[in-house]
Amino acid sequence: MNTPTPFIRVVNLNYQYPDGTHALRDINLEIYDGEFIAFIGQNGSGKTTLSKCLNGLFKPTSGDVIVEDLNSKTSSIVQMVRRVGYVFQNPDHQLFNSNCWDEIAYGPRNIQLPEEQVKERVEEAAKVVGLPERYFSEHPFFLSKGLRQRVAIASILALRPKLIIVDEPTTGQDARQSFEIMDFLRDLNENHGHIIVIITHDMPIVAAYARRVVAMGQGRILADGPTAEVFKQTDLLAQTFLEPPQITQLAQRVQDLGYDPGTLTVESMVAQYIALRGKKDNNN
Amino acid sequence: MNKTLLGYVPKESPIYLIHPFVKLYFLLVVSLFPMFITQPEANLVIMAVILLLMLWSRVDLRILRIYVPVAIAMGWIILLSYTVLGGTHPEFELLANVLGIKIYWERLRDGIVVYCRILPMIATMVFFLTTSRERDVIVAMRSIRIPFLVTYVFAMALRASGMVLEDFQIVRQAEQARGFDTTGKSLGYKIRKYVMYMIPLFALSLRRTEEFTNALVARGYAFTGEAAKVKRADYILTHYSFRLYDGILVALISILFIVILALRYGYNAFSLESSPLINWLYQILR
Repeated sequence: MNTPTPFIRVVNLNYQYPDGTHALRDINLEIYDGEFIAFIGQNGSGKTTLSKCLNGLFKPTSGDVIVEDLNSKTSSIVQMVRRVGYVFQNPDHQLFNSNCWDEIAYGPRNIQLPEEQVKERVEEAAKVVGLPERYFSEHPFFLSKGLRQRVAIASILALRPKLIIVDEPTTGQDARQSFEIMDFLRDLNENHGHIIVIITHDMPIVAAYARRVVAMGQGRILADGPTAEVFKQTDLLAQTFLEPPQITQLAQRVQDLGYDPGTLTVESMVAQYIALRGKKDNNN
Repeated sequence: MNKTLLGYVPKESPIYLIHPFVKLYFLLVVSLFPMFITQPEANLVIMAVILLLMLWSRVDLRILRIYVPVAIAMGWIILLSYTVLGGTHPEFELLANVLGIKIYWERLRDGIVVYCRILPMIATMVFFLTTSRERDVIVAMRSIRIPFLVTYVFAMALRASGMVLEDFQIVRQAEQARGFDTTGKSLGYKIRKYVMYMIPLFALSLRRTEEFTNALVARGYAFTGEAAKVKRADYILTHYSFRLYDGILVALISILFIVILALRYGYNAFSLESSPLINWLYQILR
């Protein structure tokens, strides 16, 4: 059987800020095609720094980040952003143009694509994020935060990176907007072939969408594995000052009754309840 | 490391033993020294002393690299202003006539003098900015009883500029994340593209200003202090104490300034006639 080739390989990565803060220590990580990953951890744990190393915004102090055949140390930012896109937490930091069309076209024009291809990519990206045509001539700053976030994501999508990192996609959004954005990211992952990495503190969102969790603390990876498996490690999660979603905590407390401690959703808990209830009825 | 207004200084730096007022006093008084010193070499000595003080303060001197192109560009501008664009002066000594442009010794000499005066002034400012935090400036201003309103506005401006700088870094990264790369591009291209930074920075500043104002009003803040009807407490000053050696340093800086003034006006010291560097240059160029 062939071993799949990782899209990104991080080897012994260390990163130190100019103020001397050692933000990442000996990080080893592999990211594969089709994955939906959540980076979790308390503030200052190194999630954002690691993400910025993945797309070449930060060059490693030591160690390597290899994206397909490119080493981030020796590759230009233009080469890197074609493979790894980064959506910033605050869309206001990344909107530079006077209308949404130019905003989405900004990236493709930076990488010197011919204008026909720019047009094609803008239309495609706007369609994927569900940005109606009537907004093309609007100034991005006058849109709602949800729409600004969509424009920001579309502007990265237009570069067609294989991997998209989204920093705190649900911060400042209400529940409906949060699920809309996350459903959209899931769609990108499942139907458009993008690898998605989200950085978040929102554990119910992680439970509902991410298939793999990388938990970080003090610049190190504390846990890396399937979401349910990581959430089972309560002692380890306590180190990151994060708690699994309430439904997982409930399942962990009643696991003696036969519930899976890695339960992530209410639907799964209900299904287990029905199954256990049926078994009990049969026994009676 | 502690972040200062212009870089980082280790927490163990001896500069933190000095009261912020002394640092502000140093900036205000020492930057006046070159105004009373004409000799370029004396001004260069002041600059060397300031660099030594930066070393003593354990400032990462790599920060100075960003000033090298500025210093060189400024030198050229001053030189060209005084020589090529200096006009016709029959009373001055002509050194050369290049394609009708007359280069006079006196104008060249004055250009060098002005440049050597500006360099230590800038060095003093850089020393202050690399060793002071936002709070140091406020403490220094309140220590000398600058009215609250002035300190307040200044503090807000400092705070806002700090935030703008942080935003600038993020905006720069956001542009890079979308393939913005200026490597090998012309200066015109860079300027045109850098103007784009202004759009999100301006919009963010406007939003921040509104948030600042609302947050302050929500907490009953008012310039006049009438909201609380009590004397405003300078809590920030309680973190610092003015020690004996701070007083000695202020006295030393003041004495040094008086000595410079006395030498300059009483004994005609630091004059160009007694400058070995200027005399040497004159011998070479004449």
